[in-house]
Amino acid sequence: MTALFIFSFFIQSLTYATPLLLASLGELFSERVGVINIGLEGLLLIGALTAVIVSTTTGSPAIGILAAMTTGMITAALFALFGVGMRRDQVIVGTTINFLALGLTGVLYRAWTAGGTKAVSAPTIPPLFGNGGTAVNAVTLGALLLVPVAHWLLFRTRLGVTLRAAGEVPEAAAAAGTSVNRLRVLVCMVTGGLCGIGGASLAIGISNTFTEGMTGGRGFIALAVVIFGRWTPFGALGAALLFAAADVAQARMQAAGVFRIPYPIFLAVPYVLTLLALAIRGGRAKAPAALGQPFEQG
Amino acid sequence: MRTSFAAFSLHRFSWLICFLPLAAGYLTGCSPAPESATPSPSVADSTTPASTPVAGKKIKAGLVTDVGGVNDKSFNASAWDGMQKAQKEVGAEIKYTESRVNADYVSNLTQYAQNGYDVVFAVGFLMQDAVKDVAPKYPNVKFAIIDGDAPNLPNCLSIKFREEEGSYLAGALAGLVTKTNVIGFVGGMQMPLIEKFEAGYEAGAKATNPKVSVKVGYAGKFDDPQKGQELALSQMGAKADIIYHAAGKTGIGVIKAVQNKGAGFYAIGVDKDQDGEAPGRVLTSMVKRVDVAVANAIKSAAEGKFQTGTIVLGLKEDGIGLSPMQYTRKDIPPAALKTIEELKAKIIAGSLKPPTSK
Repeated sequence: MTALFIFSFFIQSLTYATPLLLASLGELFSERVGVINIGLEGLLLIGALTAVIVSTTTGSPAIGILAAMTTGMITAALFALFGVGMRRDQVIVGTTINFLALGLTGVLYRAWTAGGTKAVSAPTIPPLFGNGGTAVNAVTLGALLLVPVAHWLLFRTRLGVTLRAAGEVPEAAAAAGTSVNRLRVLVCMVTGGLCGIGGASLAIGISNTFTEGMTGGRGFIALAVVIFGRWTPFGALGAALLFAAADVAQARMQAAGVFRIPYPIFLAVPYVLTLLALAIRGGRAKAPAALGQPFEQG
Repeated sequence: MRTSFAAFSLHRFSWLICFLPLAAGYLTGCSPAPESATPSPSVADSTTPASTPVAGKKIKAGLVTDVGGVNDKSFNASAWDGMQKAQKEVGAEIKYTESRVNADYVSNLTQYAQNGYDVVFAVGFLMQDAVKDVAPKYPNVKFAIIDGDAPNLPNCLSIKFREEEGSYLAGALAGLVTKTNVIGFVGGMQMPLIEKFEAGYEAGAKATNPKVSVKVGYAGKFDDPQKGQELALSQMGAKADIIYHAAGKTGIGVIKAVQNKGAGFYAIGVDKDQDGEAPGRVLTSMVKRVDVAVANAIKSAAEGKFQTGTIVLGLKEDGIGLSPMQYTRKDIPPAALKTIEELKAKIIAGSLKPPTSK
């Protein structure tokens, strides 16, 4: 009984952590290469809407996920055009992406549902095993497997070294023959693709619907996840799981009727933890040195 | 050199972390509306007004939604339906504006008042203070607030509903249909208005099934379907087989969670007839006829008979009721439906008064 309870608690946390994990892995790569992309919220939202529309029209959630990845990449390319190519302030470009996505998805969703009069039932990502609260789908599994792959890529390969160099001392990377900005643009697109898949997992893997602004700040929590996870993939996994578990715990506590902790406290938890992580930063936990600084190849 | 560089860059973005919760709140509170939208005028032009508007002039009615937006499949959407009904029936000129954040209420209401609108609707309890601010400045404009108290002025109307009556019937039905004797309730935010739904529901369920226990959850948000899904899953994990929501877009997540769980589980919709959101899995919807109330207010204004003060609509006035249950009626025992009708008659007769708070 207890084992089953813990198991279902863990699986549910894992499911809710998936969009966070995918977005934060994307952001992690982005920040490691020196680009701060705070447009995650918008990228998730665009992925969510694309997944719902494409999954409904084609009847295939897999095509929906692929399409979400593609629109995420296209939007991220727009971010890269301004934030990397034209060397504009990345924080401002990211904010713009968030608002653009919020407006665009709202307008498109309304047009598609004829002003919300049509009920939408998108085909959802089928579970690999389990059912209901203990189901795990392929996207969740894929996101989990991505963690060691990302770790290996970042810390055990030549590409990883180049990537981190571009984020720490871009001049050195450039001197070694790397086209820093081309690398940054590529990584931005990967971030966009991962966010797109994250949005798809939220829309057709968890909520099974799209509503305007449904990401509800998860893109910002993903930014916190990166910092709390100290810019490492396993750290991000731990942080995403922790934040998701806090959410599941509060829902279950309410259902069990034990204590009624005011909801806003849980809403604040990720940010409080992140502030703590920043406050007690020590050892090797530092943001990449050239984070957010545009680079001009000499 | 390296170290100071890193410290500098971290500092550069530290402010961002402080700003994140704000930004998240702002973004989620937003609704990506076009500032205002005018429906195609062809409908109005092709219909003859049913009654002659004052001075032969078309009546102009404006609607200000709260942050849920006109597409919330819930009470904002229902208010807009009412506006469209008035457009067809009395040829009213209609327009809506969606509030992106709470701070927009005053300016949105003022805009309509300044632009010569005859009736301005404010949808939602949250707009109560904004109406109190704006209405005294425009005595020639009629203001109507849905779900909130209007200031005591000759140009203000408050339209309220006895949600506890419909919720009582929904609870009574849930009490009769549940197999596990556990049912759930998911609210958007914990406030007196939503507690009316909760209290009525629980009382109704206990009336038809004394063994029933009610699991209650609040999401803290009206626009996050994942939160609704989470709470619904947790309640179903705690043996609930019917879940009623009063949570706007968050509630869509409740319905989808139940739909995913499949046979044996039901959701109960709210505000609009949501039975079609998951055909067969939405037991019924507690329908609040905001549309009828809005259309009637415009019609009476067109006839120069706009009523001020407070109108409270319940089962008796047909302002509240259960949906026709077009997908689920066949699965509900006839005896249960009969009991619901009897309870409804008692409430209408006044011999039964569902509670409004716990």
